[in-house]
Amino acid sequence: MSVEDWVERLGGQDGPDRYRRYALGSVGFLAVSEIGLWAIWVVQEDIDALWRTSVAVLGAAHALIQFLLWRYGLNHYLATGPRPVRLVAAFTALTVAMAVLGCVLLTSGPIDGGAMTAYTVWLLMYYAGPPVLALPPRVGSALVAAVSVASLAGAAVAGLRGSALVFVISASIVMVPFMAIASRATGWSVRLIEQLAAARETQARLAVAEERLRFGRDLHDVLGRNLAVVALKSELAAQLARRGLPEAVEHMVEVQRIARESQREIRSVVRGYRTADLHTELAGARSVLEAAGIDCRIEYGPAARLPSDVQSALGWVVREGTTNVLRHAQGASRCTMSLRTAGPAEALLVMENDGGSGAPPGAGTGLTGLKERLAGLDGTLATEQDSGGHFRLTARIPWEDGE
Amino acid sequence: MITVLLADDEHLIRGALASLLSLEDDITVVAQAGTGDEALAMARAHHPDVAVLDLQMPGLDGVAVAARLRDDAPGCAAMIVTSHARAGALKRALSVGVRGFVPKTVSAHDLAQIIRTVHTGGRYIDQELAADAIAAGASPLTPRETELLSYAEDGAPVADIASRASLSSGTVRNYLSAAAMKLGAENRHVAARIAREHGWL
Repeated sequence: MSVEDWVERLGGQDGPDRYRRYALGSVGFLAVSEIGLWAIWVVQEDIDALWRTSVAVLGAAHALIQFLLWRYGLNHYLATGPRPVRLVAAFTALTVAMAVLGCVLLTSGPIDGGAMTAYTVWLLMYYAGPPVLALPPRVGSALVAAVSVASLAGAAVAGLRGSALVFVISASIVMVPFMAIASRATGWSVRLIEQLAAARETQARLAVAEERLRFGRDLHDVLGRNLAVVALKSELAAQLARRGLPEAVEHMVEVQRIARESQREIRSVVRGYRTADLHTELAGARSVLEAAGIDCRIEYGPAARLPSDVQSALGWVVREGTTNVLRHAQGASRCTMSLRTAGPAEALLVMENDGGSGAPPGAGTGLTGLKERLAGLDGTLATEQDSGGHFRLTARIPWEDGE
Repeated sequence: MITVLLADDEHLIRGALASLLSLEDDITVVAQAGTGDEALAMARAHHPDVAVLDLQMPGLDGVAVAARLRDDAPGCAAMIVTSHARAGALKRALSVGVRGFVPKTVSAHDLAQIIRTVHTGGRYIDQELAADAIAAGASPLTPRETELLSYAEDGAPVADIASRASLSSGTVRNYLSAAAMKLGAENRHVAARIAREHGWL
């Protein structure tokens, strides 16, 4: 398996899954560090091979169970697995066994107080995390506290004295609660991330469902009535045609009209769910023109600051002007659209292209409709074309720039 | 006489349209097809002046047929008829040199007029379909994101995409997750689909 595959595997999808794997990875690192510390301890201490092997084997097992318990404890904490009671028991038993082994080593002489100090602190530190994640917080804390106190008492009974004892107790007082809290916090943050992701998903689903409902209702309003009329009218026309009556034609013409109107209405329902600001329209116009091989430059100017009614009116100008370029300016290779402020109280949209309008003035270019629309906002529309085929469309709308 | 190829998988509509177009004095429907591949074969066999292609057909879609026709039958003007206002379709169509883009709501009479326009070298783009495409805005993706997302489209693993783009897997992953976030998609596959639907790939 190549390195990339492993990266792919570890990385996987984004979001909560990844975060969970990273959290598990970081606690996995704890287990690795435990093995490392035991290895150092075993190498440094000058003890019999039997003792050495015992500590090495128990330490490795402790690290392994620590990792497993992190994993299953986290799963349980996140409600995706059973409570790993046996693992907690095994982990606790192993910890106690190691604590006893430490006491035996101290009383029988092979290790001194310093070695015992490190041994006990590490043991308790690595023990403290997983049980509080796997068990209910009170039970887990009580268990960890009990094992810690018992181990420290055992060390004292076994002959740990003076500054070594003070150190081991104070280090445990700091490290044990720290690990226990860090453990809960890790689980909690993973859970929080997953809950947030789930909430976001639910929210998105709800929004979609709501939209679908609204859409369905609107569509039914538009179509239900028209389809009823179509059914009735065509039935009538069929009856009339059977009797050879010429009125059949009129009814069918009517059916045709209603059907076309319904198609238009459906599209306007669909369109009603879409609102675009001027910035989007300009960018969209450019992408459409460039698809047709027309180089396009835009000056956005104050696009974002314009009030929505001005934006929407100028959006019409952009759409209409762009469609005209596509339809009529076949030779166009370049087009500019620039939005500017003109004077203190006017917004100005100028669309220019080098392919001419090609259309006879006012002939179905939709410009007449645009003029009327702009007039509603006291705006004006002007077009001019020079002999070189340069076509310019200028829309002006009164607007007080607040800035 | 303008010879026309009609391609539409809804044969009721295609039949009715063929009958209505044949009523026009200067138009003959020389071939009909129900799939994109059939349309291509028919165009090669009959050399129509104008190919009227439904956007959505089994196999090759209308735009794909138009793209092939541009090479195979340069004399044939392609136009697209669509019932779906997919923003990306218009841009794809324009970029392969489609000359007409009209909704299915168009009447046969108007369609005949548009066929004449297209046949004489004109271009006819429906006002509202253009407005839809414009309002969809430009792609929010950077060129690099677009490139990587298009590699991801066929389900290639990140390692493959990385080697195609000569980037490291981690970089590819970052680009793809940025793209997915911009598109509000939960993963790169969904992101690629969304981008494709919007015509951003």
